[in-house]
Amino acid sequence: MNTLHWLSCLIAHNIKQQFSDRKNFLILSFVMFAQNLLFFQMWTIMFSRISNINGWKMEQVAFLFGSLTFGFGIFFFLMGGSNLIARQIHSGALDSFLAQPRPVILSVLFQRIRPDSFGDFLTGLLILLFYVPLAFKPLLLSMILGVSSGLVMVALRITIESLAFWQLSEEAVDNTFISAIIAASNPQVGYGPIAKILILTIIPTGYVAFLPVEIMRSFSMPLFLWQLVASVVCITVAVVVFYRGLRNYSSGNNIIMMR
Amino acid sequence: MSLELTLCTKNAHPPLSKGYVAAFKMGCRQTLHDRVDFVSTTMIYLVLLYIFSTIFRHMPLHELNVAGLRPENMIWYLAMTECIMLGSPGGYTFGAHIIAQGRLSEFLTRPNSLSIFILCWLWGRTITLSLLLFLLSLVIVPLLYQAPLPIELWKISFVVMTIVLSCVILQLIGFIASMVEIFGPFSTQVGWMMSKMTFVLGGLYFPVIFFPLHIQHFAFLTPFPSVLNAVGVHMLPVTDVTILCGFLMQILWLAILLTALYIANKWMIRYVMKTGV
Repeated sequence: MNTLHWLSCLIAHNIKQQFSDRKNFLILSFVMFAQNLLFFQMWTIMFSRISNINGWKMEQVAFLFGSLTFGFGIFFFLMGGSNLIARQIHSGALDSFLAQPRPVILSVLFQRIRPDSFGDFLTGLLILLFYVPLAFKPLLLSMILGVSSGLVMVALRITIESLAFWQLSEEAVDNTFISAIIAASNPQVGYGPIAKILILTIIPTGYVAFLPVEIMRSFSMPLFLWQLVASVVCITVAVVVFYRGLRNYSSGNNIIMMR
Repeated sequence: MSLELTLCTKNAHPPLSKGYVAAFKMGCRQTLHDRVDFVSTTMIYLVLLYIFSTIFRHMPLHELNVAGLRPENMIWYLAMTECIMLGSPGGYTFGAHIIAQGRLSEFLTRPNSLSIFILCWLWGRTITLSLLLFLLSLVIVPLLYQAPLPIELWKISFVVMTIVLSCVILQLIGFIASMVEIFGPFSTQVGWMMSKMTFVLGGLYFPVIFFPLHIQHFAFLTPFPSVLNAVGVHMLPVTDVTILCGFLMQILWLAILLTALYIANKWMIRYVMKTGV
């Protein structure tokens, strides 16, 4: 069985498992969907009183929120294990994945799906359909940018969670990721040159919000390619950090047989 | 002889409040001891303040038609509201753990009430963390974000008082909401919704008084503005009457929520006695 086939079987199995408790799945998805829309209302209320924030209008903020939740939803729905890495490092639960013949990172990431992230995906889709012009090209572009920013978010999550290999506590890991989400999910306006360099290099939240919004405002092929390459670089860095950290991992003596 | 008797009586029946004070102190100590948590919470605080300080500096505040409103007021408003929100992590689900673990019968413990014990511990934790963040903001907001404190120094004691009341109210809302766990494993989802309602209706980033009138009317029918808006409004160019109204609303909601807690507690005990769960 090649890796792709194994991965598709694993995802199918995870989805079936979630659907065995359909009521719970629907409740979690709906609540996430509702709370996202509620949070989004804060910006709609504010933009009913002001015209723009340094050129960012409601459409830009909506695209930022829509593409973020869309991409975040897809990746975190499928890779529900991404936010368990630190906990499993500390508890020694990575052992069971080390014993498998498949790439450790894939086994860890795809160990479960997160039903609440399906609500994120639905929110993103709805906001994009509502705010992006209903034409093939802009819709396709917004979805590609959404997927690309989602990939950067998952890369950030893996990188931050992997810091637990160097004894960063779970709380600190969670709070660092919350900082990244906050930085990514709000309008990035009026940043100075140092801040811009930071969000496009060391803390790559610029590829979640700043650059995709700029591309949507006025399309430029070099910027678009930069965004795509950057998201691939981010995920590569995340994988490298994970495997570097894995060298420091000491077993929790929890080797058990898994499916 | 009488002194000995008094001491004996005290030892045999320690005052109820002593246990609650101990729980409160334990919460305070836990916050002071958990340095990694404090440092990482501070990081979130700094990131939020940086992002919103740039947003507020580029926002056309004159369009809001609030006389004397400057970006500094908004930065300080956010610094205040975030003290409360970041000071209360996971507040909406705490009480639910006891119910989820099937330990509901512990609510029967006497003479001290378990609910008040938990709340005292939570209040100790959150009030300490919120006040620490407030102290930090007094230093970092003027230094890092070039926003001098927009109020006179003597008014800080009022701000501290409203911060304490906000923490008390927020934890009360969270604790009462978490009791929904009795009907099934819904407390996490209810917690998500409650926290987002606090963000929006409480005025986390933008004061409720800037909202359109119909939303303001709706928001002020809920306890959420008493959690965030009442604290942040100290930093806005508003009259003392507006600030006093916010304070009185906090007192009113505190009374309502304490009554609700009393009723919910009674109901839960009756539930345990009836079902034996």
